[in-house]
Amino acid sequence: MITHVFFIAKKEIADLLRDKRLRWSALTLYVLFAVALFSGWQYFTQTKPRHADAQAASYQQWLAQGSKNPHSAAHYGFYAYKPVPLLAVVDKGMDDYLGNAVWMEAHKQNNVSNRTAQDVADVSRFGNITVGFVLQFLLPIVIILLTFNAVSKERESGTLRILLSTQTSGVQILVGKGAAAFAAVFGVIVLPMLLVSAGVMMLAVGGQDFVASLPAFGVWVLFVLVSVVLWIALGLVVSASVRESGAALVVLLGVWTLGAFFVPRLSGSLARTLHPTPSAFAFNEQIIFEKANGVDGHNSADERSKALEARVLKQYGVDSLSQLPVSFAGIALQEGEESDYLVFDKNYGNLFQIFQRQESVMEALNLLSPVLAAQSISRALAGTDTDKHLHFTNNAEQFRRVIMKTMNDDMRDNGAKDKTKRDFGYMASDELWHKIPPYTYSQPGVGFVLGNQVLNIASLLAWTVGTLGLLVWRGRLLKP
Amino acid sequence: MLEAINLSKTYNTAIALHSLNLYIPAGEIFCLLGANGAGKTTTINLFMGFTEPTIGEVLVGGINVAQKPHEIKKLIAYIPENVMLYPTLTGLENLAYLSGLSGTAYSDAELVVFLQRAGLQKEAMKRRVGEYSKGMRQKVGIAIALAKHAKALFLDEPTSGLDPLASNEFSRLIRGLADTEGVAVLMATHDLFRAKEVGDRIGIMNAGHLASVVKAGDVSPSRLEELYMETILQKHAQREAA
Repeated sequence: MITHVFFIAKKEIADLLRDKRLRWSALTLYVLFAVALFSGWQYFTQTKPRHADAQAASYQQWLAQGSKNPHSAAHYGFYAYKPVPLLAVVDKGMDDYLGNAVWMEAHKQNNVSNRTAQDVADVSRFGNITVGFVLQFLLPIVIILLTFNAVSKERESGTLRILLSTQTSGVQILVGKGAAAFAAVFGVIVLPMLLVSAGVMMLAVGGQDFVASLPAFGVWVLFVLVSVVLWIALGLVVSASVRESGAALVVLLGVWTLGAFFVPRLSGSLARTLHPTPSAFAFNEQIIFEKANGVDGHNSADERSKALEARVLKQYGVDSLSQLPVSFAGIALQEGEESDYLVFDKNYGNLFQIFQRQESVMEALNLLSPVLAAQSISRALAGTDTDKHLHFTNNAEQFRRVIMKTMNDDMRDNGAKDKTKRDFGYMASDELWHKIPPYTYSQPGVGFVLGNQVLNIASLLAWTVGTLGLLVWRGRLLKP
Repeated sequence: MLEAINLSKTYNTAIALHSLNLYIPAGEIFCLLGANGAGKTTTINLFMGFTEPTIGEVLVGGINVAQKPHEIKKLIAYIPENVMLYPTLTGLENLAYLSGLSGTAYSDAELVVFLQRAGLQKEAMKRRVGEYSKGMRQKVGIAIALAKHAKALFLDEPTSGLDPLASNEFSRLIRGLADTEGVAVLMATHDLFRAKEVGDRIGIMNAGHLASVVKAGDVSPSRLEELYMETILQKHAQREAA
């Protein structure tokens, strides 16, 4: 079995290396890859320090704000920037469209802003080319061009009849051709691209940071290879199933077009129709209403304030706010924040749930498209997808809440010490600002990513295993 | 060596082969004559396991082809009308590749001997097959059969399109294989003269039926032609009457 497969693979590799299709398509892909990698490298090396500088400057401004009331400082706030992951060099994913900075201030859970897509020229509406795009969308076309006539050409020329009269089975022929196509595509196209990508990433951040990203990059490479195996197997199955090479090419390009163009549009439209998102205006109006009237709409801010006042006076056993040993404003502000958290958690929770339902619809339809499943996995592993964005959004919000609590607690504890400068008259010093550490965000690990990509991974593996199964089945039935 | 027992093949409603009973012993060359669509190629395809019988059995060396199609590949070789080889490989490389796939890896020197026995000029062996004439490709086909040590050889219109000299040389080689190696040969052809010259027995097929079988030595070329015409015309008349 192995000897026959080896014989066929050896001859097929020699044929493929002589084949101008491989040379020209590899050359075309190299050019696109070079552009994509340069673009990814430029994005990473320019954006990462820019974000780091901006965040450091924003934090320095926070530290240097001088003597100020803590609540004024809470309004002053500072920016948290979503760190650019190293694998954005190979797959920028949704980063341009989701924004990368969030303003952390009192009373508001701000949306992530600073979307690159808002500032770019019209020409960018066609999307950016990334290494991921080259390997997940364009490489399958090259594989189709290399495999569509791998078997049908032998049938048309009559060599399949001679081949099948030797002691070679159809399965051996298909596996041998598949192994050769994999070796040629991997050796000539994929491996050089992966090595150059790894080299560029290492140069961009240095060895230590690169090593930290290796697990995600390793799994990313693994799924690229799974995708290569899938398209080679699909090409051979179709080539072995049709009488004419032209028909094989049409079928394969049809599958690719369906997966790369029709399914994404269908899934996007279907997801939005089944799970519509509220408009930004309606969403903000709802938050304003609930902040004023409580989550249930029947507990106005005034009523809550009065109830709080009564509760605090009772707690401290005094008759008026001026007798309190603590700042009531500090308590009220924190109470207000916590009341707002319920509103934010409910509304943003609902919104994120809608996003996740839309995501689920799209993931379900990715079952029809191995191209999209591979793309989703790639973006997730690169840390440039929606899940990672929501993870960052939640993380930044939790940090904002720490800032608010620190400011409000300080005002509560110290805002009544000087009777002449109570509450908002109280001024805190630099010492308080230093209690807030710089914002840091740790990327979730590979386990988090894989856990969120179960359906896409299952889809890609189902396509691959199913197609390999078809390959064996077609091999057993292979006739001249 | 080769045996068909009550062998029939139907494609949808069209009968390609009807109740063929045939035995070809080792060392015999059996020629199948018949017009296009008579069932000659279907018979060869059934013996080679390229298609399954609708009814009946096919045995090669006592092995049922339908049950063990891979097993019989050790025993057979096939030379079609146009031996299609890989045009970018040389004759030597084609032989190395196809004999390797047949289970035996030979040295270049051994392969050269097979090609020489098949009558290919030495200087042609290292030229790409894309530059070969049809006759030269036939010789590589014979070399493949020699390298496989095939016990049965199937020839489908092998001399069609060859000039008389090349046809004669080809016939001599096939005769040699049957006589010296004991190879059983089933040859489908339109060429009555070649069948008479090279065959031990000749079968005339018409519309999927093996209508008559004669010993090549017992029949003159003119009688063979008469018999061929009678068979075809008789069947034609029967069909007209029906």
